[in-house]
Amino acid sequence: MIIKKTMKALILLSLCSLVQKAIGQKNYTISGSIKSKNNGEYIIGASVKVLNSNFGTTSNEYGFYSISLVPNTYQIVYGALGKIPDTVTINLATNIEKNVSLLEANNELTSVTVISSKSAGRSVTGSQMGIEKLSVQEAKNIPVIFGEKDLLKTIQLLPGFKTAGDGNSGIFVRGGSTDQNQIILDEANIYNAAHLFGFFSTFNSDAIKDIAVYKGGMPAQYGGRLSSVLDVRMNEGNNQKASVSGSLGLISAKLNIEGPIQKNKSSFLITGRRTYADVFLTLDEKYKNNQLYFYDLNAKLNYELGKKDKLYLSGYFGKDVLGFNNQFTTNWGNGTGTLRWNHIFNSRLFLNTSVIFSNYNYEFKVKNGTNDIKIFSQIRDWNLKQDYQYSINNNNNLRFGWSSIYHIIRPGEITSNATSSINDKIQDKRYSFENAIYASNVFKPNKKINITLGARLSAFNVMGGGSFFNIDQKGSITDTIKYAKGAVVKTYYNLEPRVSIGYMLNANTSIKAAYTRNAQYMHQITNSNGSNPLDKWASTSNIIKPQISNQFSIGYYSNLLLNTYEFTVEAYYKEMENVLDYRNGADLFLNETVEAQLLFGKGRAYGIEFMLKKKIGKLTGWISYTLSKTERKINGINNNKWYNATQDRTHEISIVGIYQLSKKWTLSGNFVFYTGSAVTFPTGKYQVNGQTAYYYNSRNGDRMPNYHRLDFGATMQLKKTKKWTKELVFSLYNVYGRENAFTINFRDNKDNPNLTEIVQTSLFRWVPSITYNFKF
Amino acid sequence: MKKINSIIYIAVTVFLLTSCEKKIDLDLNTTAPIIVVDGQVTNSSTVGSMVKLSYTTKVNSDNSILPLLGANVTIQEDNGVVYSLPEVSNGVYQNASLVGITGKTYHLKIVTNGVTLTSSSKMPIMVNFDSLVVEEFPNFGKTVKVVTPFYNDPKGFGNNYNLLMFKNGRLIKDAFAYDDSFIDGKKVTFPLIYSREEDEFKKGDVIDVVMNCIDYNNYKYWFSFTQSSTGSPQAVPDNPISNITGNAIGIFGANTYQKRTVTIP
Repeated sequence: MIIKKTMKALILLSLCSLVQKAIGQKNYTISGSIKSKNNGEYIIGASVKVLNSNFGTTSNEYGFYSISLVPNTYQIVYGALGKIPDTVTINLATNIEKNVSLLEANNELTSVTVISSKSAGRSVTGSQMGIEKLSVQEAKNIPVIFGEKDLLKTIQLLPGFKTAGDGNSGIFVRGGSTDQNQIILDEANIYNAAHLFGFFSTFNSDAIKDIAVYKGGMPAQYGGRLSSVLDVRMNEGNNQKASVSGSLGLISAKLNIEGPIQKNKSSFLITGRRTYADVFLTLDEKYKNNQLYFYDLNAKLNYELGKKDKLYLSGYFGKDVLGFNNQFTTNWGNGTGTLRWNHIFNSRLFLNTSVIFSNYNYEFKVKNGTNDIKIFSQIRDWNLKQDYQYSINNNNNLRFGWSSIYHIIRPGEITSNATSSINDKIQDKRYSFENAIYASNVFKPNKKINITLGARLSAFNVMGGGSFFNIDQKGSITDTIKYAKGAVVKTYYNLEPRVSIGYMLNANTSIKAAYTRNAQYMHQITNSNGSNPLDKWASTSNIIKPQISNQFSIGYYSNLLLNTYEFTVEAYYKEMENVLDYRNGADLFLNETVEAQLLFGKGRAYGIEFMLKKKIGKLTGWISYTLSKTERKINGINNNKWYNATQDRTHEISIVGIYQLSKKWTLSGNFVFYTGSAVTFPTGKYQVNGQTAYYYNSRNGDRMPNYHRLDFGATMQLKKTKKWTKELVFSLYNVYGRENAFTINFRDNKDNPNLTEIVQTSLFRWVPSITYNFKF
Repeated sequence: MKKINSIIYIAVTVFLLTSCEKKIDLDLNTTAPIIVVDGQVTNSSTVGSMVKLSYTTKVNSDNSILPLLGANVTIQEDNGVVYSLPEVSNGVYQNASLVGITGKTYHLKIVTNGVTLTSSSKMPIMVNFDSLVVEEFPNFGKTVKVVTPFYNDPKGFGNNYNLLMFKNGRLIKDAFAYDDSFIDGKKVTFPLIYSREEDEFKKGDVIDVVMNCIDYNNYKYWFSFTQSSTGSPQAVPDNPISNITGNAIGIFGANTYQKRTVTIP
């Protein structure tokens, strides 16, 4: 299969070179890499602009750029977020290699002009829409809960992203569910991006370079999830000088060591983090024997093999441990590894080959009287892929490649001790291949129009080894079919076109439109109350069909007042097929096969997102507002009628402000408001067998109370010496102590069981924190 | 193990130590009263067979029952005798001579105000309730007393159990429903863990445990009840899967009945 794909890719490639010949203009190429001067890190998405023309490009994920132009003398401006732009004059008469290192802009310069609009995610130019980019640098000053900088939480302040709950790093994007986000760290899939039920994300911001989030118009090189791609890139490590940085917070401590192996050529990075909330727990007699912590470790090595080849090896390992008095203990975590090889064939053709490993598993142990029971589940991926980037000429940029993933799922394994009442049960492993080929071309027919045409052809093979089931309407197994290992049970194909068009109305204003189709083959089954680490991942099978989405979006983009402000509006309509939910009365933990517990249906989501951003000056920040609707229609729920999805929140507002008070102090604040999530409250009650029961007549017909919250933050730069940088970060989460509802329950009153009481539980009121950051 | 979600919830709460509860008022929608069937045939001549009929009430009203009066209730044993259940008190329909026999199917028929409701349930074989013992159980930093029923699940799938626990004659409002998909042929030793602090057992408390062997539909009902209908649901709130045909909710079961009693030492 892989060979076939490679052949196809090669044919495609030769076709492209034919196209190039046909176009036939004599072009030369300027190519090279763009780095940060201070630490030698490659810059992703740095802009390369040809002065006094509309030609330009951006650096790719590895800092590489390539631009083809007719012979002439050009002035080229290299720029990147937070860097001082560099202008270079080039007399182009032959292919030229030009490597650029950009200087870090210090604070005094920020107010002048360093931010290049091109790299700041949303952009007036080009055809890409539905994208947000966030660098650790930008997110640094925004207050977060427990003072733990977290890109996944900061992302939730942008329009179109909805938090899965108070302090939670789970995200709903444009009406999608949490499993419809593809979260990749150095290309490796992270199946559970949350620590401690989502109060922290798995991304230690000290190890992260930046994050790009696509909520629509996903480029063709991404695939496998319906609603978004969160592409997280790790730092490479300083190849100029060794440095140590770290932080001490109320909840966790972090340490980061990086440095050159060979100056300018190779470097390493190791970053670790561990929480120590459990240390406080032991102080309290009541919680003495409990365990509660997580840790994670990021490591990366990169090595230049020669002028044209570069190797990157990166890995992540994280684990959560939670235990109560030996009564129950649970642990879960992700482990990933990525080996990448960049090869530059010539100034126009760039290839990246990746071998990626990803693993997620959990273990849950319960001691129940004489019963020691252990539940284990695991999902593991092996992925091989190649991505070619080909700069045909100044009007055409082609990207194509293929990917092949082998998934192995161990859905559930229950084992127990000899005195237990439980029989061991090992569910059959599930094997599958997820393959794809893709190509997309960015085409600029004239100065004003930018078109991206792309397509992805995905194929999913459900592989044998084990029992497959036929299931009737009521969820009972009617038939069991055994397949030998290696036999193909079923194959699904999906063609996923991706089209986007950008039209410049004038130099500062543009409109864009996009259509994207996505297919998703791996599904996380949650009970739609929110996700937890024990939620199962299931692969597409004979019963579970691939989820499909079609998204249409249009947008308006404008830079105002000499690029000081940016105003954007995006509207979308998304429809989803084969979305799944649990059957009523599903047994979430002990079942023969999860497929018997599922119901299938469709979803639709539409909305409009406004954002006004101030990018330059002492005061920066944004105001965003989203008006949206998200619904599901699932056979077997709500009498098969459309109902509001849990994440349906009509209005959502966030305001973020960062103020540079002085060289020493930076102040920040954010305010969030959203309509309460859709929820099901009882409409009646009754007694059965002596128990009080509640009656429900429709799904999600009610609303939680509206949510709102204000946070403050302040960063104090301590004395800066040549060697040391130190700062203190203060934050206060939920300044006015709003009791936002986490759950609302109904129960008999303790003192008078003849009465019902409604009880609201809220989590965070006034969470202050202080963090000490250092670097030397 | 069905309490995993609540354990996680507790864990979150413990971790934060900052969570707070408060009573609130909500403006809830109400539905027109719906008929609730709560009926069982048992094999015990002391407990007998009884069908309680009522209507759903408003959530913010008290828990007293709104009885359905004057219905015509009959239960037929297999294709044989039809027993009539006269209304012995408001909404309570009973016939002392109807004592169920394992292996027989009971067909319930209710006619009221022109509405007909039906259901049926087969009384399963009775698995012996061997004993009830008091055990200690670690519960977040302190040890509490719990009771554990012992019984041996017979080999072969299809045995289902519902257990009810009473403290000093008052029902503890936690439901315990099990099927045998993971305990088939085993000696079952699961303690019955109560969820409310105010139910905590003290020395001298008399604890009764009733074990009903139930059919699969009754198991589905009680399992989905514990998941979705208790007001503090672990899954998405929903009505339990009923075995009543017609415009009504509730459950009818032909259940075996055994009771064991211990006193907390």
